[in-house]
Amino acid sequence: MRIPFAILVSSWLLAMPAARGVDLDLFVTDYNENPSAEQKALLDQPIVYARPKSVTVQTADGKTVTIPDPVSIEIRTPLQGDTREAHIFASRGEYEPFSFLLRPAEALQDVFITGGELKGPDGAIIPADHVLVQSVEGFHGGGRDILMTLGRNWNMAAHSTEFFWCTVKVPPDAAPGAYTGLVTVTAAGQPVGSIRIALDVLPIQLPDPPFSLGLNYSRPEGDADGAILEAQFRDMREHGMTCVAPLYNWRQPVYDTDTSELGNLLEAYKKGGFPGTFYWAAPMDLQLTELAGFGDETTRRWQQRYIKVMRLEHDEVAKHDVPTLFSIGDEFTNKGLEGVKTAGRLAKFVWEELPEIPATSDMDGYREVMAMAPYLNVATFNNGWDGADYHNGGRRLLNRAFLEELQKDTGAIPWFVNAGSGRFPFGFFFWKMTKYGVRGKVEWYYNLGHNEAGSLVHAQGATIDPTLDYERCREGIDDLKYLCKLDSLVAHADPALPQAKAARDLLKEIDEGIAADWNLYEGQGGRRFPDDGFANLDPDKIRSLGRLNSIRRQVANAIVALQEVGVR
Amino acid sequence: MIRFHTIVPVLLMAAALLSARAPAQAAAGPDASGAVAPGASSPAGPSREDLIRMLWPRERVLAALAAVDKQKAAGLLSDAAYARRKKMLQDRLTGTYQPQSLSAVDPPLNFIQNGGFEQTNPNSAKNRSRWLWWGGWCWAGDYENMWEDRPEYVHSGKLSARIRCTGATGRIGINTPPLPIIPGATTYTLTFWTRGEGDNMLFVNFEEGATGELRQKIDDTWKQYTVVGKPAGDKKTYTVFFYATGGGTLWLDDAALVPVGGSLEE
Repeated sequence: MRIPFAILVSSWLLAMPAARGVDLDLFVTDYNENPSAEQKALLDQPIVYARPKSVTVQTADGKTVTIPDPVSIEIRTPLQGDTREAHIFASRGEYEPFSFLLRPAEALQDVFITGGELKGPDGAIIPADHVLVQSVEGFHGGGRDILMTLGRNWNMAAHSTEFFWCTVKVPPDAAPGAYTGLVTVTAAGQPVGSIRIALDVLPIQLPDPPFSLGLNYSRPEGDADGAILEAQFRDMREHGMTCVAPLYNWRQPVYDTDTSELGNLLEAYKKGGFPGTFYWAAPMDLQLTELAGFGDETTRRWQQRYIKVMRLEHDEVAKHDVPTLFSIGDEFTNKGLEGVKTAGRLAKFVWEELPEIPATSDMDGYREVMAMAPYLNVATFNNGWDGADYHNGGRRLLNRAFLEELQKDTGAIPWFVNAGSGRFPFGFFFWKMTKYGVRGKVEWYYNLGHNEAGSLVHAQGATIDPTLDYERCREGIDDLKYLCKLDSLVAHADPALPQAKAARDLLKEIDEGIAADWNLYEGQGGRRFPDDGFANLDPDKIRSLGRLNSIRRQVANAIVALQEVGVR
Repeated sequence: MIRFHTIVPVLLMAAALLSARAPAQAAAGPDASGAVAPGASSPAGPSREDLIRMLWPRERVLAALAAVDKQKAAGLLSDAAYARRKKMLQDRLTGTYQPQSLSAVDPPLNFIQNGGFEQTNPNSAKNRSRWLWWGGWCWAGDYENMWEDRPEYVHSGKLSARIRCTGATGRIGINTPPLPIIPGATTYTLTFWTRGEGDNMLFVNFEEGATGELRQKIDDTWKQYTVVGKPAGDKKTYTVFFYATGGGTLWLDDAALVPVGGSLEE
């Protein structure tokens, strides 16, 4: 909706320099949607009532129509509220984004957008440099477009649309309470519009979730002093990752005994503060390519060189005291049943001859997993496919039934690999699957090749531009942190406390609202979370916060309620 | 599903017999793809029992037991997996564990793995590698890599590799992974069988840590070619590329690569 700026000026804007009366679209959008010129304001969403008993409509010509048992009803109402106000909430130390769209009705010169400081209770301030405005720029399209920090002023043609994210970094010591501030759009040095930020800082500290969450990672080029590695590890931690899964271009001691690069990597990992298990994926290349010429996994020459390399790497790991998983294989299902046989032989060989090494494998099919898992510490898999020779009979793996079968029959601990990036896969869905034993998740890929498709960031040296999906991964991990925090508080609370009962009921309701089968989501089964009609969703709250944030807010409220009665 | 533990003992027994009774035949015999590796040798190495003794001194078993406890403490082993791993190591300590995977047998030395192109990777693009152990890329032009099963276009086994130009010419290549430079080796002898149709052009090249090449239009009959590579520089690996740079079609089969002199064993 286009709102002339002059109408929107209110008392909190009086401190701003006088603004030109510029006709422009400027409104908060849903950052879970990929930007498009057709995007509507977050507030301009239909209210959906699922499974109402009946709906009665009085038509424009005065007739009354009653529809019994409709599946759902979607109602568009006249827009209410201020589309230029971003309602957000965050815990101390949390990064919280919102997105917005800018479309002037006339050409604008020298446009710039600036985030200002946020003023809170009793003079508390969140400084302006904690309010980062970035523009959405083309990279690999959709969720793989990137956010770039604004550099110079730019010009905008009339009716051109540009998209922005604003990320507020709440300091770990920020005083809880309500904060307000502005993101101001200027043209030719004059303000032409602004977004008001209304931020609730909650009295919550969110610890890392007790799971290993990370991304595949390639050795950065031109990084003699380790500065790029350090910057990229810092970036991953700031995005909530608790581990790293180095895969490509890491040196392995096939022809010598030099493991210093691995040692340096482990030290950087420790320095980066990753609390999870280091997922050393590079050894899968020993089977794929690096031992070419030595035979295969059934030959003495290959086995002896493999043992030598793996023991050298394990000795290096042992020096650094970092819990480490070695991934020994890569998607043998792609090679059909012959690949499955190779997978089983390899896993058993590693189990017998290298039992001191915690082993996993990146797997993508039912029979492959069941062949390897009896010999692995951790079975890491995606949803699986049939293989080119259709040997898996349609079995899929990211579901409760398979997780239970896997653990019962093989004793392996389940982790996910390439099971979806973005908010829901890292957040609510992962939390659901931890109820069935999943303990880690590794995703494809932080920095693939020279910023190839699949990359979650665009990296140039130590300069890192995140993709939208990467930012959404952080939001998912934040969802997970809230849920784990509430789980932990409930576990420590007196069960008789009414706040504990309310929290248990909320967690149960969320749990039951998530299907324990990935096939139902992400374009396969046609479901989304939360479903329309999810009992805890207040249609009005969805309008201001968005669907997932509405649930997160209830979880946050339950945390605060328990904390207020002394539960820690 | 065939569980591995049911078939391995049979394979190992057969392998052990081959190793013990017919080392000469094994050394001179065909590799898995059917190709004969000229001049290949498989030096007699330690027996399986020797390997077990070398690999599993008592100190290593004890260290492994401690490491397994650490894995459990780090949350990297379930109770069931922990118990099985401990049992295996305790059996090693008492000398009663019989490993089923450890091999004392080597095939003839041939650095081209899957040189007969029998192992395919169907989950691959037509302008990339379609075979296990081979890489592949198309730089320009219109080409298609495919496994070939018409008997007249297969030199041995069931399949060969077919590289076909489907439009404009340019360059497509398939390549070995980096292969080890062998200490003491003076040259590397690459042999392969090939057949061609149309206005083809085959370019075979040793790259990175070795030099040696062949550029040849290939006739429409199977013929074996030999290319000699020489170590270059002080790199520890080199790569062999087979490029198609013309039109028409090329078939490749039964490639082998052996060092002259030197030893891979440590």
